[in-house]
Amino acid sequence: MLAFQNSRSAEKPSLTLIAVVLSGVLLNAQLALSTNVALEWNNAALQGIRDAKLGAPMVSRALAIVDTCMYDAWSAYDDQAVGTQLGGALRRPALERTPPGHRNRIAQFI
Amino acid sequence: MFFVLNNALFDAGIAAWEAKRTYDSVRPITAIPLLFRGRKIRAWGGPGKGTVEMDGVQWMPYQPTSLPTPPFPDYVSGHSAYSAAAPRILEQWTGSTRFENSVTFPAGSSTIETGTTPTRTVILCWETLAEAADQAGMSRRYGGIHFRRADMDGRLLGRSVATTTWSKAQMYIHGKRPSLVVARNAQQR
Repeated sequence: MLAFQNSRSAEKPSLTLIAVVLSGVLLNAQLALSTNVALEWNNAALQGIRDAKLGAPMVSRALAIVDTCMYDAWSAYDDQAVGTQLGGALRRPALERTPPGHRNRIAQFI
Repeated sequence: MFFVLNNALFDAGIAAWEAKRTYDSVRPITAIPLLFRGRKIRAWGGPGKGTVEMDGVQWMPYQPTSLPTPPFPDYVSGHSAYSAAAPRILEQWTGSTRFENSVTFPAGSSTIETGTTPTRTVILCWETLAEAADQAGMSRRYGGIHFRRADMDGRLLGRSVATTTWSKAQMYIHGKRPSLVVARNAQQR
């Protein structure tokens, strides 16, 4: 489901394999048929990468930036987690945060 | 999961390319024709030609003729490093080493020898994530674009980077800023 196609790089198959590994894990977690905002953003990033035809180091950088942004945004709504750039400075008031019982369910997508 | 996984892949890439720049090592496409010039070898003769006898200077990797080898150094294999880093994260995140997945290649579907290879359907299957990663690393040797050491050390580097990335990510997730912790430890010493 996350195939990297049309790359001109000879290293392309590594990314394909990583994508296969990723999709396998998602299937195992029975998430393949569901969608959520983290998957939507990841898919948008992957489409951008396909269109831009980036080399492997740039691909991994692009994905890391997108997912670090998502993590930092999520961490503001968590009781414990701190962001990578501003620590706990963006933490939202207790009432707005993720209820403890939902923490792991949401975190698995980030 | 994606936060940890993609930062591990990103760091594995940085570490692999740092090694490439540091060692500036030779690829098979340069080394083999140089070392085997004037000697008869048995090797792949080109798309659809199978294994033939040739002068070593004519050796070519099993790759598309339009891009026979990536234009950067051999050691270490980025492919191997990326592929080895991902299982380390996914295993720890899911608590399982299982993968149980497969990919089917119909006869003639090779991008290098379209129409002739493979002669019949080939199914690659993996029980564990690590098996898939190892095979991804091995594919670079089958493809003639990496030497063994670049593959094996690339895998080792990828695993090592992922272990460090996992620990660092856990600190963020559990509310400790890694840089502050490192600074405090340094002061105590």
